[in-house]
Amino acid sequence: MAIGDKVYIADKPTLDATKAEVETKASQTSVNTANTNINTINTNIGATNNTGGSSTTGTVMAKLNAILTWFTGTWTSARAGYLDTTVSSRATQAYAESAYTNIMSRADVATSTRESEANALARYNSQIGYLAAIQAYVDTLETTIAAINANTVRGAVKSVQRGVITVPRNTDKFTITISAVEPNKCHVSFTGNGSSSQYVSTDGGYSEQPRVVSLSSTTITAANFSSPSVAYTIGWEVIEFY
Amino acid sequence: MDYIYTQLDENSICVGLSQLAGEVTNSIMVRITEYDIGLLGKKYENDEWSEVV
Repeated sequence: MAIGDKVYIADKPTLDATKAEVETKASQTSVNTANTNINTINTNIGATNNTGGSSTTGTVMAKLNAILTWFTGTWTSARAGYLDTTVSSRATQAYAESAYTNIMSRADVATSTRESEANALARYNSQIGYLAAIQAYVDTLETTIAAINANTVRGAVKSVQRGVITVPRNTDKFTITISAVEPNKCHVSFTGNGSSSQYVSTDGGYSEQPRVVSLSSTTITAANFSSPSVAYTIGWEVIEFY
Repeated sequence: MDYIYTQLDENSICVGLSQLAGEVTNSIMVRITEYDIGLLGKKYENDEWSEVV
């Protein structure tokens, strides 16, 4: 304070009023308590890089970071794109609402034109009975048709095989290879005469009519009456029947 | 489908011509496409027919 400065001294009423004003303000204790609470709030909010937040642990920042991580991982750009894109396989909202309305209108309402469960079941069983009867008739028809076919085919020609074979001279037996047959359903014959033109020109002709010795499924075995002194060619035929 | 075969003897000489009802698997039977009686007496060698001298 410098010399000459004025000193102002409050009177008592003013001092009393000031005292009362100070006493209505916060005490030091309450200020400390407030400070503690603020610190607790700061701790609960946490730092911006806090992690590990869950429903029961972690700071507010940690919980926010957990939400951000889940959201950015789940809300992909592809999924976001569906919001503004028409998906061909998805029904329109109007259609879905219409379908919902129709279903709900029928779900819990008795319909006079609807068959009762008992009647529907009876009709179903009746139809099953008719179908079983029809199936039985069809089975009988199939059996009958098979029998008719068997009788019709029996005895008919199944296959014909034929050809020619040259039999060397001085041969007693010879064989002819054929494709597989049932021997007991076959007729075998030699067609025409086996003759040698060589003999025709020299002594009036030589002919041979071989006989069938046996027939297996794939071979005709035949024999000459006598070993021919010259080779000859003769036709043969196998007719197989059903 | 025709099953026309020639039948060969032990010297691969054609001794028979056959019109069969089905396929046969036999080394002496050679399948051909046409019933050619002129093959009788010819020799079958290396998938070719030749006159026997």
